Amino acid sequence: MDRRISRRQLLNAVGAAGGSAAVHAAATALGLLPAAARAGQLNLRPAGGRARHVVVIGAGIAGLTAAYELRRAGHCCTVLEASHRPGGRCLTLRRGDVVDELGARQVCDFDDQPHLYFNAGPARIPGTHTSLLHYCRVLDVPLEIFVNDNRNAWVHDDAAFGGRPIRNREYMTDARGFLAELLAKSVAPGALDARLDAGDRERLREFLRAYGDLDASLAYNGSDRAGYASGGMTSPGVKKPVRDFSNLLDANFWREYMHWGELADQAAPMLQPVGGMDRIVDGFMRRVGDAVELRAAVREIRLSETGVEVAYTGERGDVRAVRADYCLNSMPAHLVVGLRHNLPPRYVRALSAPGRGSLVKLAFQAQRRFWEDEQIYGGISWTSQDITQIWYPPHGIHAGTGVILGAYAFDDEPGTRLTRLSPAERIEAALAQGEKIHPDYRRHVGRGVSVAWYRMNHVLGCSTRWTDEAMRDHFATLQNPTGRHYMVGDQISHHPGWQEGAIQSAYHALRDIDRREREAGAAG
Amino acid sequence: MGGSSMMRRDFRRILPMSGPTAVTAVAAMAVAVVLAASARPAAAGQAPDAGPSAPRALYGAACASCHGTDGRGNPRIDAPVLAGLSAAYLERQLDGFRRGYRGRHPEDVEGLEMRPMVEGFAAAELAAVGVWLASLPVPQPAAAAVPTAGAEGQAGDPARGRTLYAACAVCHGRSGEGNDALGAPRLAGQASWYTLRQLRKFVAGVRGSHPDDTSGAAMRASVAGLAPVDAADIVAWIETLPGS
Repeated sequence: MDRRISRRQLLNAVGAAGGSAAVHAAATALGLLPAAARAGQLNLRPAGGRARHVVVIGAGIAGLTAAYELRRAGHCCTVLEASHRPGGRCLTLRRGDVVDELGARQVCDFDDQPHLYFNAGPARIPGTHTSLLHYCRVLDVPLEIFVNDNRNAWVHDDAAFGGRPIRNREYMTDARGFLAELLAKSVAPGALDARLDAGDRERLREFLRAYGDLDASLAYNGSDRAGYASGGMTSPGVKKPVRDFSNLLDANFWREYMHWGELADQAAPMLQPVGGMDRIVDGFMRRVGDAVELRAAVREIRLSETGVEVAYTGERGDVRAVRADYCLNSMPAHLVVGLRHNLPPRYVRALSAPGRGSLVKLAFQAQRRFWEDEQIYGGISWTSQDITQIWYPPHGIHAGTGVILGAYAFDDEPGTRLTRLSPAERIEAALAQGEKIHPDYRRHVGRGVSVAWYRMNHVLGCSTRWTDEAMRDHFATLQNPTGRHYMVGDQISHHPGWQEGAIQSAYHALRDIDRREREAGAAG
Repeated sequence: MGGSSMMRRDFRRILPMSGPTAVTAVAAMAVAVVLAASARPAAAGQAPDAGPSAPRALYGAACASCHGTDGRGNPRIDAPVLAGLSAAYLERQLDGFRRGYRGRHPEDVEGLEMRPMVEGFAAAELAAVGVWLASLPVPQPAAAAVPTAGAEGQAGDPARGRTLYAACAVCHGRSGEGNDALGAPRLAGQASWYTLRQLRKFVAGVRGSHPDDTSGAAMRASVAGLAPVDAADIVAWIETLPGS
């Protein structure tokens, strides 16, 4: 006798006990109903009798999202991953991990401790990236606050302040003070009559006084916002001298980096998974890892009326093939054109349109968290040098050791210069540049490891560089399917380089497949 | 404190054939069809699967990302066609990268990218990859018809180039088939962007200047003073030569 209770029986019992609201809640918990519209979630129609087989190329965030959602809806999928590891650019390096840079493999040499890791790809999550946060929730990935913007960190420019770093808060305070004073003194009758009446002008002066911390006479004479030169606790605080505004202009900080924290994707607070960004990959792999084949390098894509065939090379050079109803392809577009394929010429031109970015990240293990002695807890120091940034870990505070990000060059010029160096030369460059900000840098840090995404095997570029022209002429071609083949990944989004862009691109493709299947089901 | 010693020691950790022998199992439910090699998608001029799997596996792990499936090249990565070049030529160039007479000139940006790729491999391994690549069919011209990475490809005049090519044919052959006895590589079937870029490098002395690069030096001497427009016309003619 079958003693199992069917889901229908269970729901009847729940309904008898708790009414329709309880039935709805229980059905949701059983996965029978879409969860109440929580932001960032995808709910594919259950496959039912129309289960489809989808081949997913690439086990990065887009591919794993697709596999997870397809499985959840009852479809079957195969994920082919060329690398020795899943995750794509969601890469966290710990002791013993291999950096698969072409011609320059490195092995991470950090001590084996939970807080000693390096997020070499994505490393911060804005609260607005709701789909990614949704997966952190359902995949049981604990999050903690990530510190991006830190006024106690340093601003360095070879062309300003004698090449010596100054505190971010000094720069910000003096710059705003100067601007506020300048504007406050120009708020005179007649000057802004068309837009402001007398009452408005008075309030504008008060606004500027508050904004720049001006004195009663609307003059900026320094501010304790910049931090005290001395005192402030048991003796009166002594303000720091005001910096010459023309010297502030000498530092290129005002062009972009000063306003970093204003960016919607960079503003505080931000989040990071506890223990490393790849905890998200681990979470996906717990659910769909059995569908992922590693070291499976795709060599050929053949579209047909009824599906897609993908041939790939296994670990030993053996050639295999998968035939599926659909293909979701997250390979970098610039690598797809190197495959054997029968993709239409217009599609190939579109695949060739975006450029290959040359982001470089580099990290050191520090034997002493010297930045905490400088009152820096998390955040970023900025420099005009190629390393561009130094990041201080917001986790492991006071732990003794820590992993410090010694370079994050995201513009292509410094990125290319660092990319062309050998790993050992990059380390030396990062040390030489870092010690302009932290004089004892070399004494405290070592075991450097770098990831130059332009030369990483199976990736060869990050992030995708869409010019306005390429976006206009080619983006739509790649966002739409060709036959049953869909390009996905952050490259097929307006958020390249962000995991949320990868997830949303997968959603875009999956919704289209959902629509096609629904229409085919209705027709059939 | 650098990572160079680590690099060397673990160089092969993620290459195929070096790890545990277990091949990744494919979940039965996940894979609807795993076709036998003979039934895999057929393409014009497809290479037979028979042949040494070690060079192909090495190619797959170390070369395919850039040079594409079976050496068909990828202009988006500045990677030339390798399939169908002679084994002798490939061995010499790979050896040149390994020993440092190619890919060392500071202005040879792509050569500098290639050079570290061959470090750590034995000459015999590289030669075996060369033999395997030489056995592959030259890709169809259409396969290489991807816009080039750089905007340096002004259309040349093939009619004029045909006349100029007569001087090249002495070594490279009338049909651009190459001549191992003279150290001259096959040109037919090579991507035009690549041929043009190499011509410019020889003219500028970015290639062929190293004392150990004897065949490169001969090429450099042959093209000394070649005008840019002539180079473009010659390449336009070579582009019309059938690959195989």
